[in-house]
Amino acid sequence: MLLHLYLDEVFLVSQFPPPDFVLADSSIHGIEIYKPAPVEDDISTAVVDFKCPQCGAVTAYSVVEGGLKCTHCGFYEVDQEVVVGKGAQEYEFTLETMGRAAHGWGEPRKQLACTNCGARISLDATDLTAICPFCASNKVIHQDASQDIIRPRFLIPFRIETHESHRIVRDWLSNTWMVPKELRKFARIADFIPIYLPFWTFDATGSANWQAEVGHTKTERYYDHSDGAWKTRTKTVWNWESGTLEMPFDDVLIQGTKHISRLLLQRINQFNLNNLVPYEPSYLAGFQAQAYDVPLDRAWKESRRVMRELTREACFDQATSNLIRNFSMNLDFKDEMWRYILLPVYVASYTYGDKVYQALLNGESGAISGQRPVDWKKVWFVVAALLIPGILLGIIGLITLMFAGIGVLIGGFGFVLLIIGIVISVLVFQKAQGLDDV
Amino acid sequence: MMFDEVSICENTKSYDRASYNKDLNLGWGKKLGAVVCENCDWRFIHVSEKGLNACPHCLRSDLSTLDKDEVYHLITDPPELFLSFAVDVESIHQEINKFAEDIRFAPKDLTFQNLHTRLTRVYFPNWLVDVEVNAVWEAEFGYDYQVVSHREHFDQNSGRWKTQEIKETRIRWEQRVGKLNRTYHNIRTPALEEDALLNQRIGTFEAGEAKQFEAELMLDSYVSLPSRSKEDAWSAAVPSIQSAASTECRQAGAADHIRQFRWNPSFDNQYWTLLLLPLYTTYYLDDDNVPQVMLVNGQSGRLYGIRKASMKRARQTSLVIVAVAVALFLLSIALVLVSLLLPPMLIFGGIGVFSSIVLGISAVIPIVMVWQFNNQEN
Repeated sequence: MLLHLYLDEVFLVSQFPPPDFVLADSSIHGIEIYKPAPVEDDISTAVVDFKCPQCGAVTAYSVVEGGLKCTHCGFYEVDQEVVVGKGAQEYEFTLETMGRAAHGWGEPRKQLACTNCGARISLDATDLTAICPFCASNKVIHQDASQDIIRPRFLIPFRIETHESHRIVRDWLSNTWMVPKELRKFARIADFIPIYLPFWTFDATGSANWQAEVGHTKTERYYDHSDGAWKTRTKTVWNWESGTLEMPFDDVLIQGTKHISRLLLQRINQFNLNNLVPYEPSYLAGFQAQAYDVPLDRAWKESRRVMRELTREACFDQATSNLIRNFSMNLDFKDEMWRYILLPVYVASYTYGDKVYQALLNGESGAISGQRPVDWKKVWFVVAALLIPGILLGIIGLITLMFAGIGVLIGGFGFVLLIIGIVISVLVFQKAQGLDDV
Repeated sequence: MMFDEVSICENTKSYDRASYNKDLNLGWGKKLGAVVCENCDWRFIHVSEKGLNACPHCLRSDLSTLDKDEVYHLITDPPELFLSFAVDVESIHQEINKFAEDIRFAPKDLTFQNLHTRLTRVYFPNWLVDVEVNAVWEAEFGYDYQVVSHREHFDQNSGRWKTQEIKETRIRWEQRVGKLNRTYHNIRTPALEEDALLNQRIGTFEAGEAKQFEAELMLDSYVSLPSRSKEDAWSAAVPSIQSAASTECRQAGAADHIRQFRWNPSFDNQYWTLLLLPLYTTYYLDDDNVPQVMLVNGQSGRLYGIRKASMKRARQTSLVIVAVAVALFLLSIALVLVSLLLPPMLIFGGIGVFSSIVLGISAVIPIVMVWQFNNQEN
């Protein structure tokens, strides 16, 4: 419509070519073609130098103030944050689109290559971190970050400050008696490293049609000639059922890194994608970021696995009974789109004993999950404390039973206590195991 | 090319042979005659020695000599291109045979032999215009691209998902504007008022096989002159030129599709010539001795014609049946009367009365058959 208006104007004022159009290739003599000037990807082409314009020191992104702040003189550079949310552009599954996606980080960054776990972490140029945030190893090599991977187009900036993350971690470490006392001391020295982790989001619509034999049980009476009596029996009647359904999937989040426990990440991945902002290198100033190591095709495969299982469950829900056999379904995906984004996470990896533990903190919401070492001595002591009263009362009950009838009462009470003790012990044991079960 | 003397067909009504031969100069390389049909207003040029007895279009004989000024007004140069008769004779024979057979109560004149002997070769014209175009244009160019989609199948018995990758072609539309300075050659536009009707009846012609005009083709065929003036035909040519320009713009931009093409063209240096298209005509006379035309596309062989059964013959047949029925009825009545003296004759009389009634009713069948056939054909 705009173009038409413009052309009408061209016809009237004989102004050609339009100001926002550039000459394009034409293979036929006598035909000139103009196309809209390509939108400059200023982020990818301009390499940004984060120097304070006032004192020349290094600037870093301030979570509190939402912009670049000089670490030396405090100069604050306002950054206009444009939230695009879930309306952030998505891409089709074409090689061409992937090729069109801007490449590189848009700023000179160092890459930390961990020779222990293989992780590659993009660092700020001035960052001299020597510990891998994923495995706590110091066997790391610094090198220039590769620019030839798909650059993230959107991210959610950090909302949780570093000192706030410390408080959350301390609260988290001290909210259970099962961890060793030294761990609380350790928490005071273990820094949570703010890092942008790579994620893929996927949209699609699944059109499914299914068929299955669905069973309904019914009770019937019959005469048993051998016994000469009427009896009751339950019979399952199987009927073929079929159905169709459309399942829209919006922003299925798949992690783009292999170096973080999927279980831990799932526990904290309640990110609000309505807070997505276009990628700017300034958001990464002073932070670490990891490029994806789960490529798009593998992430899409994982996403499809999630989508089809959800669709299968929805198909099962359509059936008129839970008894289902010979189930088959066809699922066609359409309108598949993807996005590559960065999400803020505080990562800590620390060793306790010989074991490496990971903990993650959602840099947007503050949700935390992680592995915590268990002080099994304490746990066994508590289990023993829970079981001993029941056992003792049981023994006393048996002894007193030989002399008086009250022994039955004492023994019975001991038995009840023992059962309660066992149940609570199992729960305690499970919880303790869950602390580092990742 | 030298201009020869032009003569007028012997069968035309009135003409001034001397002045006409002297002045009419079309440069076709043959002695020519030009006539106009007073019935259908089609105009024809033919070689003078071949003559023209009836209009090849409507088959009437109301032909008049065409005034030279009228000829010059319609055409000043020889045709540029022509399409030759590409259908083999055997195919045409088969088509004609198919047309003429299986008609109950067919008119006497509708025979394969008549249709065949009356076959006439006619060329009818399309205008060809060359024009230089200057324009500013805008359009949306469409570029094909492929996306990868997936189809999944789950079978509980195997417990596995089977994934099938599907490639789907989509179109990405992009805006373009531009300038065009091109000359387009031989843009076809109708030269006859009846062009659309002809196309509808015998199909279109593929001009890619056109050859340079040769005057020799006039020896066994007639050439119809345009009935649409160049000015009139121009309005129909502009969309064709726009389509050609749009296609070129698409090709220039290496696009796969184009839509919303708009332009503000200016046209210069128009040059008009003719393309001759091959057509067979033949006819048969119906009940009222009116010629019923049959047309055959000389390139594709597609045939058009209305087959009419003869109502006259049907009525005659019905009358014969009625007469037989009446005679039978009278004979049966006589037998009934005889049965008063000879009772067994009553049986024969009764059968005769019944049969005559049935026969009388069946007399309507030929008329109904012809009426139904003609209705279907129409």
